[in-house]
Order: sequence, then structure tokens, then C-alpha cells
Amino acid sequence: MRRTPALAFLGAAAGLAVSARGQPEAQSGPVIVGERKSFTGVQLDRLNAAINYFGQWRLDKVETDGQSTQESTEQLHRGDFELSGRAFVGHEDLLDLSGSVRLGLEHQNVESDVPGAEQDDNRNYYLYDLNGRFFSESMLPTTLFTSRQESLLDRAFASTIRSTNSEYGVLSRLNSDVFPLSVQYVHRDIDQDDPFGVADFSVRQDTLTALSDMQLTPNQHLTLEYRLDSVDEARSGTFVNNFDRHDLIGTHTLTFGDRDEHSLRSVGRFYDQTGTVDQSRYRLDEVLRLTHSEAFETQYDLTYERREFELESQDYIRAQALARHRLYESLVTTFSVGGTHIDTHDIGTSDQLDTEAIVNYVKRVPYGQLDASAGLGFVHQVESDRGQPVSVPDRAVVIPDAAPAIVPVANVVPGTVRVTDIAGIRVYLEGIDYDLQLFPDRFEIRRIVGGAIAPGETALVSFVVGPQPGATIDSLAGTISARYTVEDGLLAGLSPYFRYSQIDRWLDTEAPQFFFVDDVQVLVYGIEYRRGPIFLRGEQEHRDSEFTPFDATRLEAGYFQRLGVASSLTLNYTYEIIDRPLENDTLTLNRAIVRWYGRVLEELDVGVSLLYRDEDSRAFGDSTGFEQALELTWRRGRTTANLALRNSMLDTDTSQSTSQYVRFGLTRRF
Amino acid sequence: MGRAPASTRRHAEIWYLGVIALLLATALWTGCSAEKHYEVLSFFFDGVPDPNAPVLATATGEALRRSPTYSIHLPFKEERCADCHGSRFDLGPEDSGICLTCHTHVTTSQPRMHGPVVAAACLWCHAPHESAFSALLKDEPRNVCIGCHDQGLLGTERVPAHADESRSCLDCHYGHGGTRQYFIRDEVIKSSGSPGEAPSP
Repeated sequence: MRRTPALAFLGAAAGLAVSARGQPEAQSGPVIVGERKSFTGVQLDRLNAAINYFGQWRLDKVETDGQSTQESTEQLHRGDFELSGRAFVGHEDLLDLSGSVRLGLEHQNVESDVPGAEQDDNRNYYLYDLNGRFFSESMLPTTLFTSRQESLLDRAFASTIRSTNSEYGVLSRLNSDVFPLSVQYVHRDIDQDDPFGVADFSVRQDTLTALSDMQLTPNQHLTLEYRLDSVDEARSGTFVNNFDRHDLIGTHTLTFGDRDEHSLRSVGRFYDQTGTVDQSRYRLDEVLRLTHSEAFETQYDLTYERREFELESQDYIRAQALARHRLYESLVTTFSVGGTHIDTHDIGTSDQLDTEAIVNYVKRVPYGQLDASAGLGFVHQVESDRGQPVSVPDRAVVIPDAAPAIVPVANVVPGTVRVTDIAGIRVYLEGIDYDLQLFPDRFEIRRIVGGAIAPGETALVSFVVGPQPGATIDSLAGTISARYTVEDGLLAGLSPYFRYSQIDRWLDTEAPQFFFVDDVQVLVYGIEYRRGPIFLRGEQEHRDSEFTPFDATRLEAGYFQRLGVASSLTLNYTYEIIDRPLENDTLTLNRAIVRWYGRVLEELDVGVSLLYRDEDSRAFGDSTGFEQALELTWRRGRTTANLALRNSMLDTDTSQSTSQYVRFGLTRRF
Repeated sequence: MGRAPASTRRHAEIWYLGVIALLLATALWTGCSAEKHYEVLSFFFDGVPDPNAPVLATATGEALRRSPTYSIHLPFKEERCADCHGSRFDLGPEDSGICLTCHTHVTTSQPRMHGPVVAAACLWCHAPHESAFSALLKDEPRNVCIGCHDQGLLGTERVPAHADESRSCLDCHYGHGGTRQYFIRDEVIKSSGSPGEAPSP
């Protein structure tokens, strides 16, 4: 009789299960077929039980000028029974089961001014985290997993978000010397609920990944990585973003030379995305590194990329040669020359030649160390006439806490700016997460306090640039910097520094009114002091520019001290004032953080935190946020109790919001 | 013919000064003694090789590998880093016990043992990866020994050879231990006609 592969697999698994019976407890090692005589069935390794209680009272209130006040209160009581443990079926290397399950009852009462948000429910709820690992010592260990978790996400100066994450999937690894391979599939549902519905967020994501890491020969290495994402995302009930994307990357590395001191790395990538935004890319990178001696090395890069967007397709070619020389331990000189050609089909071309020389210098000097650097760069850029708009994808932009992130690109088409997280999955929303201002010469992105963008976060920004006449632009950039760090004597820890850079540009075009060529000089100088737990810094920045000049003064004082086991004290204060003369605006930002964690008794941990943020700006408005939190955790034997209190408020020119909660949790383990 | 304008004269002076400075720098670079050269370069740069330093003891990289007495630890050569380091790469001299994983009996191999060997302080004398000297020693054998054994206490009257700085201690002594007092080598005993004991490594 001919058996199907599935039946053969089940038969083999059953055979292994039967043959693995009778093994001693906690026996490890491979499953040995035919040696075991008796069958143990299910073998329980560990089983723990606990009962949990969680209670929360929460009040969120938003008063917006000219609108009615919105208020939301919640009372939540939860009691559940938790079982966690580990068991083996037949043999721990045959099927290793572990995880936890919580089953309980929940009473939730929500009174809210938001239409449809009121609730008064009793419901059963369940949380779980289960893992089953099959054949862990075999050629093909495989893990099945599933989980459902709930958490409460505290946002600075804003209401708490309830987040529910559910996922299930399978992870399998082929342990082969020839073709090792890891494959994972995961389906993930994330739902985040904001009391007022503003920051609601949900994602349904299916992801398949495959990774193989092969050592072909002693000097050749190959990595293949494939990822498929299918994402349905919704924000605040209005914004919807659906896309599928394939991403395949292959990397081959070859080392050669007497001591394998040279290398050639080849990276090929195929990326295809369809959905709300369509794009595909094919890219090839070649990087040749030659180590001529311990002091001298060269590198040659060649990149070709084909980009296809909804509006157009582009060919991108870049070549660069770089030489680096080290003189003793003090001087590193780097020189590079490169060229870029971008051909946007049927629209126009952009060509660039660039060269740069950088010198870095480090020297032990009396009482400390001197670090200095100097650089000089020249760019010759030729832009052809462009009668249609072109897309600029995924430019990485750092978004500061208060000051706007300036993207110096002129003639951006309104309504085309799109901001996502660094992974390109979560799309941030204008008006909720950030404010956007378009200028003829640039655009500015400013995060909104309480939104989804964290201070200092790096985001990806995509946009479309409008039609533009042809031009030749030459840029000459120079930079110089130095820092003296005192390491000995009374002034140890002191570190004065400065940095100066200048960019001069020359424009040659028949239509100069379409261009905003700016000469920029930036001078930064300051002094730092680091000694023991203390950190002090004072810095002044002067930016001279035709379009975006500003003067900034920054002061920072910090203190961090470990006070013993699980105990520490953190104090931090920053003051920043940015004067922007063209906007007739002075932005002032004060931030203060106090955090203290202490184990005051052997059984009692206490945490206290205070957070203060005050911003004054004529252009962006004023806002003041203040937050206080207290957390107590008490443990005795198998009983743990915790109490958390938080009060948060944010006042702006147009609204006042407050958020308070009290949480109490009790766990008794058996 | 008229006098050149003041600005032209100033430019010419700057050029003259620049040329003189360049000539001075070139002369300093090429014309001085090695010591002076080292002194000037060290004022501007860290890591300038000292002409008076023992060359091989401070050699690194290619200079070290060019040494006629170059030696390399086999696991290092074969890139079996995890054999010694496991998952950590911050091993210090106090971690010499790891050597005993392979060199199992080295601490008890002889009836009379050298103190640091018994204490597994291998890295007092040996480099763990590679060395310009044989047997992975950190320096010339004599320099390694006098790091602990003060030359003034060696008794040059009783053993005149101790006064000969050109000789290596290992010409007459074993490094790890031996059967005789002072770990005297067998061949030294034979050549001097003294009664022999069991052969030593």
C-alpha cells in the first residue's frame, strides 16, 4: 500500500512517541528510536497556579476651547485563575509544551461623553501564551506558538492606551550543514484603544520570513533572506493603509589575500509593494575593500537600483572610490570621490560628481586628550529640465522634541508628504502625530506632544517634488571641529568643544526664481562636565542662513546614582531656547525628570517619578505638561501586591487635558 | 619701474614664509637623528615607534610576524576563538586557568615546579595569541626572567654566566620546572661533569 507523505509523517511521529516511552525523568539528548521500551505518555515537568486580581479607576478629561468638554471614567475589576507549566509528550525532545493560561471574569464600567464609548459589561476574558516545540534535537526542530496579551500603555502627558496583541505562528529550523534554513510564519493582531478614540490603532499583519546563512567555502559566505508582509492598518477609524510587500535580500561575501585581508561583498535586493502605495525596487551593491597595509586601505562601491513608483520609474547608479590612511595612532585621513546618475524615465536626469577629504586627529596632551577633525567637500550637480513631478521615497529624518525637523527640499507638492516609522509599517497622521508646514524652499515636521512619535525618533519621510527647470549647482562645504577632554587634575571631566561648518552654493540656471540656493554657516560651541554621577552641559549654536537662520542655547544638568540593590536616583533638567528671526519666534523648552527607585524594605520596592515639560512659542503655541507617578510593590512569600497612582496634565493654547488612574494588583502563587 | 602695490608685497611675503616653513619641516623630517625625529613626531602624533625601545617586544601586526622567532598559538591560528573565550572576549591575566583546559598537566609535570606555573599564571610570561619570540614568550627570554628575578641577586661571582647579558636564561635553565634545583638543564650538567638526575623537559 502506498502511504501519503502526511501519513508517513504521522506514522513516524507516532513511532517516535511510542519508542520514546519509558525514558527517565528530565532525560535530555536526541530521541533514540528503538532503545526505549515503555511509554510515559505525558510527563509533567512543572505546574504552577496563581490567582490574580487587578482593579483600575481611571479618569480622562479634555477641554477644548469652543467645544464641549469630553470626559471618560472607567472602573475595571478583574479576577482570574492562572495556570503555567511545562510538560513533555513522550520525551522532552519529541514535544516540549510550555506556557500559561489565564481565565477570569471582568467587570468594566465606562462613562464617557464620546458617543458609543459607554459600557457596563461583565464578561469572561482569557489570556494565554502557549508554545509547543517538536523534535528539538532533530534536523528540523519546529515550534508552534500562540498568545493573547493585554497591556496598558502609558503615554507621557496623555491618556493611557489599552493594547491587545494576539498572535499565532510556526517557527521551523532546518539544521543542515549545506543549507541551514529558518522559516517563520506569524499572524498578528494589534488593537490599541484610546479613551477618546483619537489614537486608536489597529493592525492585522501576516508575515512570512525565511533566512539561510551558509558558509560556502572557508572564504565565502552567503546569506539569503526573504520576507513577505501583508498588512491592514487603520488609525482613529478613518485612515486605512493596506499593503503587501515582498523583500528578498541576498548577500555574498568573499575574502581573499594571504591573510584574507581583502573582501568583496555583493548584495542583491528585490522589493515589491502593492496597496495604498505601490513601488518596487531592484538593487545591486558591490563593495570591494582592499587592505594594502595596516595603515592604508581603499574601498570601491558600485550601486545600481531600479525604482518603480506609481508616477514614474528611475534608474539610480552610483560609483565611489575611497582611500583611508592611518598615521600612527593619531591621524586618519579619508579621501573619496564619487559620481551619481539618476535617470527618471521620460522626465529628466540628475547627475552629480562629489569629492571629499576628511582628517581626524587624536592626541594625548597634557591633562587629557585632544580630538579634532577637518573636512572639505565639493559637489557638482547638473539637473535637467523636469516637466513632471518625481517621487522621493523614505528619507530618514530625525524629529526633535520641540523644534521642527527641517527637510530642505523646495517645491514639494502639497498633500504628498507621508511620514512612517523607521520600519515603514506604521503611518503617522498629520494633525494627530505631527504638524506639517510647507514653505517654498523646504518643509518642516513637528511632533505633537501625546502623539505616536517619540522625541528624537527617526522617521521615514516620502514626498513628491514638483516640476523644475534645468540647473547646475556647485556646492563647497568645509567643516572643522575640536574637543579637549581633561582627564587629570582638578578639572578632570571638563570638556570644551566647538564645531564650525560652512556651505557655499553657486547656481547657474535660466529660471533662478524656481530655486532657493542657500549659503549656510553653523557655529556650535560649548562645554561639558562629566564626573561621577554628575553631567553638565552648556552649548550655543548659531546658524546663519538666508532661509532658516536661528540661534539656540542649550543647558543640561543630570545626575544618576545607583543607591544599592534595585535602587537608583535620576535627575535631569534641560533648557533650550531657539530664536528664529525670520518667523519672529522664540521657542523656549524646559524639561525636568526626577526618578527614584528604592528597595526601602526587603519586601517593599518604591518608585517615584516626576516629569515636567514646558514649551513657549509664538509660532507653535504654548504647552505645559506635568506628570506624577507613584508605584509600590510588596512581596511576601508567594504573594505580590502592587499599587500605582498617576496624575498627568497637559495645557495648551487650545485645550486642557488631564488623566488620572489608580491601579491595584494582587497575585498569590501556589 | 614702479614699486609693487602693498597687497602684492604682502602676498609675496606670505608665500616666502610658507616656503621657508615647508623647507624647515622637510629638513626636520629628513635631516635629524632618529631620536630627534622621534621626539618631534611624538609631539604631534601618538603611537610613533620609539627607536630606543626593544623593537620586537612592542612590535605588532606585520612587524611582529616578520620576526625570525615568531610563534603563534594554534587555536588562534585556526580561529578557534571559542575554545578559550567561550562567549566572552574580555579575558585578563587572572583567567590563565583556561590554559589548563588543554595544557592539563603543565602545573604538576615536574618534581620541582616554577611558582607562576603552579599558580597557572601563564600570562605573566606568555602571550595568548602570537609573539615575536619563541614559545609565545612576551619578550626575549632574559627580559622575561628579569621581570621578576632581579639581576643584582643572581650571584654573578658564583655563576659568572649570570653576568653575560647576551645569554638567555633558558640556555641553562628550564622555564616550567625540572628535576634539579634551579631547574638546571640536563645538557649543562653533562657538559660540566656533575652527577646527573632524571632528564627534564
